[in-house]
Amino acid sequence: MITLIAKFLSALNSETRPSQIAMAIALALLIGFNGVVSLIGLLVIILLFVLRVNLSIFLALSAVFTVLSFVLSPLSNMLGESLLTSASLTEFWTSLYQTYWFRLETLNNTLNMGNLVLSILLFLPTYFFSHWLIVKYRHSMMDYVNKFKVVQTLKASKFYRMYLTVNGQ
Amino acid sequence: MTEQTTKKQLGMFRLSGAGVLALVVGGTAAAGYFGAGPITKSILSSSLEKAIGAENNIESVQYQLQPFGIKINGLQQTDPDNLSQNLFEFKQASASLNVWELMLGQVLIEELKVDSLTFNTERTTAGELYVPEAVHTEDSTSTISDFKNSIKVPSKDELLAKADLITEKKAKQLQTVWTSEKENVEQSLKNLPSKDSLKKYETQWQAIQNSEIKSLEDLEALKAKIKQLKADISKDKEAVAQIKSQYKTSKSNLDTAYSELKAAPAQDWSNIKEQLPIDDPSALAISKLLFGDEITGYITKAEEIYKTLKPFIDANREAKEQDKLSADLLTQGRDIDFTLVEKWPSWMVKSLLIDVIAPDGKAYRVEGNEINVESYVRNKPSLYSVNLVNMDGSEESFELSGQYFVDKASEFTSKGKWQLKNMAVDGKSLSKNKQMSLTMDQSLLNGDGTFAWQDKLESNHKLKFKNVKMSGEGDSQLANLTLDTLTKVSSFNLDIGVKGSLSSPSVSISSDLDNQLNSAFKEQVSERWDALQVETKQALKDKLTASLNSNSGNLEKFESLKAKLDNAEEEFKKYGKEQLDKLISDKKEALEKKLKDKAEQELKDKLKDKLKGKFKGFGI
Repeated sequence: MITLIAKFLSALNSETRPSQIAMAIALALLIGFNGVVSLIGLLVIILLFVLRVNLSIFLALSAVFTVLSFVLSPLSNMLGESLLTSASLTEFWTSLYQTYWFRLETLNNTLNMGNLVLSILLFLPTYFFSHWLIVKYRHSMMDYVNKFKVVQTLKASKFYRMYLTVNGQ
Repeated sequence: MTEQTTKKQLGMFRLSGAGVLALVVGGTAAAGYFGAGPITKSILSSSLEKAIGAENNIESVQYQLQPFGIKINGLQQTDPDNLSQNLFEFKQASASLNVWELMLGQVLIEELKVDSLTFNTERTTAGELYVPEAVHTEDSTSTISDFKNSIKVPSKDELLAKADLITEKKAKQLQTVWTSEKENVEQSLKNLPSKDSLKKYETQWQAIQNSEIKSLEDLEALKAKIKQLKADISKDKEAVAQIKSQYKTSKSNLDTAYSELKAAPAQDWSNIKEQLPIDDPSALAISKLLFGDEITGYITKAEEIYKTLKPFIDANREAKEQDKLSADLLTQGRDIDFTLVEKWPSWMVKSLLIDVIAPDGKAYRVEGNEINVESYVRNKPSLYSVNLVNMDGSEESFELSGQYFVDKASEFTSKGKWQLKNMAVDGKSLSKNKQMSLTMDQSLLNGDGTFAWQDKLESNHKLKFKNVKMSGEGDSQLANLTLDTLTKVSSFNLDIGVKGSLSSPSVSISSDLDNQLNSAFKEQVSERWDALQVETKQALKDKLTASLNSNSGNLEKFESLKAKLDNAEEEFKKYGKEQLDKLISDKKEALEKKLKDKAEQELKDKLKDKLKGKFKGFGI
């Protein structure tokens, strides 16, 4: 947990562009909800190679979003159930079911479908909201937060120093 | 500050990352493409060595990407029973796979080709053995030896030993009935009146007869005595009647047992005649003797193949059940089933093509479509065919085609037909037993047949042999007779029917050869059968006589009992109710007469006295 906060603080306080951090958060959301061994996971891995995103934030938040997907699984399940059993969409799903990628992803499973749809729906809002939040933080809150005793204690801790060493900052 | 500006100006895209990605993907693909072949070769080779137990050699294994597939070149599998030859070998086998279906867990082989599959070929160097040689047991010889033995005329002892004799059963039954009835009769005889009782009745009877009745009191006393005697006699008579009833029942049971025993030898003889060709030696089928080995061999092979395939079919069922169980354990999410236009079983070979070179050098093409063990998934039967590839331009042909279906309950059904034309059969050994060796030196074979399997086998095959030449040697009169007849045969038909389960099929083999041979046999064998008939009947008669003799003493005793009972009954007749009533009546009449006479005498005397008084004055 301390490492996670350390990573956050380090990234937020660094000169990394807000879009890179926001993209890392949004991609972590996709991985957290859909898993690494999936077509979405493969796409995210390719994007991680090609796009300049903050890997530390991505890795840390992947775990967080995985936990969040478990918490939200009843909601995802409900969403998937309503989509897959919708009479008006049956023909659409049946045609998709004939494709290999749909069956490979087991998207006929209510939870998997719910997770996919929910993560895609939340992808852009997460990106823009994270971007706005980071910009806001850096402009108006960073100096104020850094003055907190708890933050100073954390920055002085062994973990934070170790993290900075590892990240070369 | 300049460095910071430079960092901030870095764009969203990372070209170096794309390069690394390309390197990783390319490297992995190259390693897979060049390394997969040798790795697969090693795995395949060691798996076959473990499974079969002898050295396996593969020249090379190659993968192809479009369409994705595998190619195995030059495979040789050493025969563990003979290390200097290969169990099988082929030049090349190729299989193209559907990768997407493979990722979905289903092995869909679009096309499987095996080129020049050959069995039992010589190896250039002897192979190595990896496991101890398996012990092969032969359990199908008994049927064949039964065929061979069927030509021998059995002895009377063999016949009687094989037959479940009714005579013996009925003899035992008579003994049991006799023991039981003897006990019943002896039990009832305990109530038979003794000689003393009869003497006592005689004495009482004499006393009653001699008794003098002087008065009514005497008569009443006599009546009481007779009443007592009547009651005693009645009780004993009843006992005798009961004994006689028991005797009659026992006699009836014994008579039934005796009559059944006497009829048993005839029944035994009738049964023996039904089971054995005593009356008609032509029932001996020589075709069974000659072709039984061959057919039994095919059935044994078919059973082996079935036993090999059965675990795969059953394993599939078990796997399905396991999958279902795992699915039930999932607590999150629900699989919604949508109609799949193209369904596939867990494994399937869409198109199969094998070129086989048989040990006799003939080439066959084995073709198959939709080969799998879950036919119900696509509701399509699997098709197979075997055709002789005629390379030398002869008129020889062989065609076999069929189909099979495996339903949801893993029940296997199959049907098919075959046809054979102008196949040369040269130097075929038909019999190699001690009594006779027979070889078909030359013949031309035509034939056709059908087969079907649904719970049990149902197949009929017709073979026609033309231009036949046979030769052989025999060491008995019967064998020489057979050879003499067979060597004169130029053509014959063979009808084979195999029905029932593979493990215990009912095989019927008939041929017009049988008719040709049986007329010759009949003459030779009928004399022996006649003698056997007399001997067996005599043996059965002896068994009956022995059983009857053993019970004759008892029978005499039983007959004497009847005389004894008749005598007792006769004795009681003397003391019948009529006789006793008559005795009372006689005594009563005697008494009445006596009293009457006495009364008359008294009246006379009184009248005389009165008259004396009246005629006193007249001087009388």
